[in-house]
Amino acid sequence: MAMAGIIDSGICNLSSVLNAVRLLGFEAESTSEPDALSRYSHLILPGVGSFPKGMASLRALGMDQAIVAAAAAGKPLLGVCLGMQLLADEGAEFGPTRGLALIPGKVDLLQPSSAEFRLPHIGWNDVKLVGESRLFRDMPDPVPSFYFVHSYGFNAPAAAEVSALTDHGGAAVAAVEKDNVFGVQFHPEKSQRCGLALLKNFMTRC
Amino acid sequence: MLKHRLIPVLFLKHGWLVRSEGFEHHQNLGNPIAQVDRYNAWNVDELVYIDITPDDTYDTKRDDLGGAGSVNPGTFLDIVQLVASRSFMPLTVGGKIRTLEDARQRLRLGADKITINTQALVDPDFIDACAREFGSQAVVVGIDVRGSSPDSYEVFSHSARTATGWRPAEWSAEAARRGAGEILLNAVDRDGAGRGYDLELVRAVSAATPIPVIALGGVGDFAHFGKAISIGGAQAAAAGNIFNFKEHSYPLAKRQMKKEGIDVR
Repeated sequence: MAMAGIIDSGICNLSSVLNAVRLLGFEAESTSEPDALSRYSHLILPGVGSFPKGMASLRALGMDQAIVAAAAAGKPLLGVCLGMQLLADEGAEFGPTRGLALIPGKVDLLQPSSAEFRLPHIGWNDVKLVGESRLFRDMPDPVPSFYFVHSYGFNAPAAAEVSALTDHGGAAVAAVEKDNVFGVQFHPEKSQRCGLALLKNFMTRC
Repeated sequence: MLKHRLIPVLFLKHGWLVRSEGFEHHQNLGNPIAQVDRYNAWNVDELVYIDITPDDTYDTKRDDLGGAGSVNPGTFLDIVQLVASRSFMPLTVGGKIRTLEDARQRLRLGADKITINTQALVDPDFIDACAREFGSQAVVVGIDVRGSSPDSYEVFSHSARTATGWRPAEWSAEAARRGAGEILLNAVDRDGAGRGYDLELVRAVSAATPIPVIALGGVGDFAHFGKAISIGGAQAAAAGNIFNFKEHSYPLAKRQMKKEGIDVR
């Protein structure tokens, strides 16, 4: 039976993610114990806040190494919002900070083409798939839109690991994946039926 | 491109969902949680819950809120928590937020944003403090306006009972400067009137601020929504009453907006 471990580094409210996964009929728990990760079939790394704060809180728990080890062992991992950004090699917010280095790339401030595209990028936006992705299979809407709240993002929209893009005064990375490691910049737990479908895909197809 | 949003606003008094008119008359519409399931089924963009209970009394003598087998919730905060646990969309919560702790409590219960109104007018530094603490994306400043022409528009506080001397355009610009992430603009004299938004007011405020404006107050017809965006320049259109009284009102309103060429999801 699939069971999600929602990684709790104490910097954000996990209840929406927990409730969403449970609503879909899966067991889910939050955990801040690095040793407990082996109990779960799937790991979700949510996050709201700044890159350095996110990394510091993971390191303080010893969770950074535990996540990297679980991913290396093949366990499906989904990073959400800041959690996706932390998968990168490095983040630029408040000065360069090393990330988990599970997905090659850096996280930089978004650079929209004009001032009409404001930061943060907040709201519902269309997401276009780049190639095939198990996460986005059988979406309930023909062009799925998801709820975004962010100012920083993966800086290489053409990279091989990018699985979906959105547009905010230029292409912005909406999702990345590499083998068993997945990341979404938007909030599936706040994205109504498309978000729930994506979480279900993660729990059943990844 | 970001989608324009269509947002149902639910006013709660003593724990009950009410229909509001002129901010004075409130007709009881019943169980606020039953509505959430409808909004989930309609796949709505976002929900706003505002507590307009004048004192601290909540009707707790009920057993219907959480469905079979649940404990009796009762207070507004209990309702917020219940709503947050069964809705997977951005949730904004307002009413009686006076301190950072009030705001933190609502965010912790599952709200994504708080909307502050009277306290922001009483102590404008409260906007800065909320933005610093929770980020601008979580801070909506609610603005209640009375008056029906640019000469008479005035911002009111304390459930629209107290005049403040602020012009809506100036107050919204000040709120944005202090770190508000959005403006929820309510035309009090249109509340429950069904004549459509005060488009002149929406336009004045949208032009005065760089942050998104959510227009509220006056919708009586699906064709009113699109005008807040196409004529008023608002980013989002909101309403209360129409979603409670008309069958399938949300999907029908979206369909109408799409027909008018407005980019909604």
